[in-house]
Amino acid sequence: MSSTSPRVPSFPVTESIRQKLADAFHPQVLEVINESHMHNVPKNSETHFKVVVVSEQFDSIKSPLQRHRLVNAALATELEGPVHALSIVAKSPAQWESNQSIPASPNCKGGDGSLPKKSSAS
Amino acid sequence: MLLSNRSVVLSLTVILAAALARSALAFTAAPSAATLRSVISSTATTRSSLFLSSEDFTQETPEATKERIEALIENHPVLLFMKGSKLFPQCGFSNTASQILNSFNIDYHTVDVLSDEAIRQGIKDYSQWPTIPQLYVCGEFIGGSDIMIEMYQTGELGEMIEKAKADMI
Repeated sequence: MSSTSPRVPSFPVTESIRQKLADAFHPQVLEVINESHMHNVPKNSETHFKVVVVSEQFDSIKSPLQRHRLVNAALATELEGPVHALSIVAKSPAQWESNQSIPASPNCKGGDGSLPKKSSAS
Repeated sequence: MLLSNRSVVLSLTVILAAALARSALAFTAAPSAATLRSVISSTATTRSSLFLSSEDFTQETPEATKERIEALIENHPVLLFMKGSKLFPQCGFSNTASQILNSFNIDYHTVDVLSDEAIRQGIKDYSQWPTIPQLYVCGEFIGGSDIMIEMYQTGELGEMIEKAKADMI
């Protein structure tokens, strides 16, 4: 599956996340979605991400907590730095085969003193 | 805006008048702006000494924060560290997490990390988990909102909550 994220050098964090997840999990499916535009941050920010990782490594790791910990660990540098929010979908190939849905991320509620995105409802 | 400003000044004037009367200075007909300012600033001083500000928490040692976190986890069978409150979540992910817990009709406890800087960082270190929200059930770290959604859908979270309910009785 091809990614929807732009593959241009002006998105270094997105590139770095993609590279690190590819190296760590050799995924069959890898998507790095920059969701920063859904939040009240400057245009072209790289702060809020969703990643979809489908890997055979998750065949033997059933616990979602352990899977997410591995993904967090692979992206520790990014999470300590520019990345403010990371939503994770980590599945085994069999799980992905039976259910390819990616949960929608919730609307921003303006935490951290930032305001909800102006175009959002209410 | 003008109206509300006027009513604030009016109520301050009333307070001031009472204070003046007590100090036998009632003959001062109209309080000067300087006097008003001093009343306002003394009120502000009183407030800040009565309530803990976030600065009070940032001065806490990491050990003390860890102890507070452990006490919270021990005392609350279902505990959510979140941004904002149940009624006013300040983050979409925290909102998702509290909505899921609301669906179980349980009296769960929440900690607003936005109003407690020490816990905001401390809980990330304690759980070895980089993001908020974070759910604990019966002392066990469950995960963030993605995991809550997943375990809600499989029914696992419901089972855990049922056990926690037994603990609450």
